[in-house]
Amino acid sequence: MQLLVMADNVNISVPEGTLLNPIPEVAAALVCQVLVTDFFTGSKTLANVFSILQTPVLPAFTNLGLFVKMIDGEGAYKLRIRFVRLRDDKTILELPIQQVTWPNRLEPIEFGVNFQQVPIEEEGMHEFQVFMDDVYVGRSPFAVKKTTPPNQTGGKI
Amino acid sequence: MSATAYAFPPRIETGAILDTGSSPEPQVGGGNTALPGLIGIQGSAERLDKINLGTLFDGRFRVQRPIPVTLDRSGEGVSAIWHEIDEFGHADSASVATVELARSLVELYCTLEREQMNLGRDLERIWAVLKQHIEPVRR
Repeated sequence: MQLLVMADNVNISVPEGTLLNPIPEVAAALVCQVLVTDFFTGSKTLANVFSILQTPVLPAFTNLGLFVKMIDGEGAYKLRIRFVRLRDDKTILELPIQQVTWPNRLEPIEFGVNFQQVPIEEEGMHEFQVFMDDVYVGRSPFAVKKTTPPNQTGGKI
Repeated sequence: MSATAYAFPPRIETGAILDTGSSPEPQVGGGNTALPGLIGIQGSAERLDKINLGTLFDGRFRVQRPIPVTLDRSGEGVSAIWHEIDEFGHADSASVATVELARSLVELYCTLEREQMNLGRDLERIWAVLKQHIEPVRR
C-alpha cells in the first residue's frame, strides 16, 4: 500500500513507512575475506579486500567480510543485508533485520560483519545489498571466477 | 587492476555461521559499530519484485524520498521500472537494471534541469516529481 502526498501540486507516491528518517548514503561498502574489529577501540581492519574471487572448485565455501560506512542518516532504522547471486537474483544469505540507532546526522556510522563458510555455487557476479528501513541504499558487488590450477595447463610449478 | 582473492574447496560445514566480532555489548550507531553477536543466517529463494530505491549510485545526487521501483521479469532480462514517470532500466539482472534506471534518472534530472524553462505540461509534471524524490548534493 502506498501513501499519496500532495506537494507542489503534484501527486507523488511514497512507500508507506519510509517517511520518518532521512535516507542514508553508503559512503563505502567493501568486501574482504577477514574483517577484524579491535576489542577496545572498535576500529576495523580489513584483510584481503577483493573484487574477484577465484576458486579452482565449485561449489566452494569461503569466508567473507563486509564493511559498510554510511553518512547522512539520523534516527532509528531497520538494517537489512542480503547476499545475492545476480544471474537469477537468488538470495544466498540474509542477515536478519537489525535495529540501528543513529544519534547524530553529522556523524557517520560504520559496521562490519564476518560471514563464515558462505556457499558459492557458480561463477558470475554476486553482491551484498544494504537496506535501511526497507529502502535499498547500496551494494558491493564482486565476481566469482573458476581457475585452472597451473599444473593442469602445462605450466611449470 | 582488480584485487583477487581465492576460495578453497568445500569444507565440512554446510551451514553458514555469522561471526560479528567480539564486542560483548554491541552498540549500534555512532562511530565504530558492531552488530549484535551470533546472529543466524537465512538462505532463501526470495526474489524481490519491488524495491524502494534510496540511492542513484552517483555522488552528485541523493534520494530524499524513496523511489518505488517495480522489477519486471516477464520478458528477457529484468526491467526496473518507475511507473510514475515511465522510466526504466533494463539488464540481465535486477541489480544492474536498477543501476541502469538510476543512471537514466540522473540523465533525465540533468536534462530537465537544463531545460526547465522550456518544458511542456507532461515534462513539467515529471520534473516536479523528480525534484520531490531527488536532490543535488551540495558539499
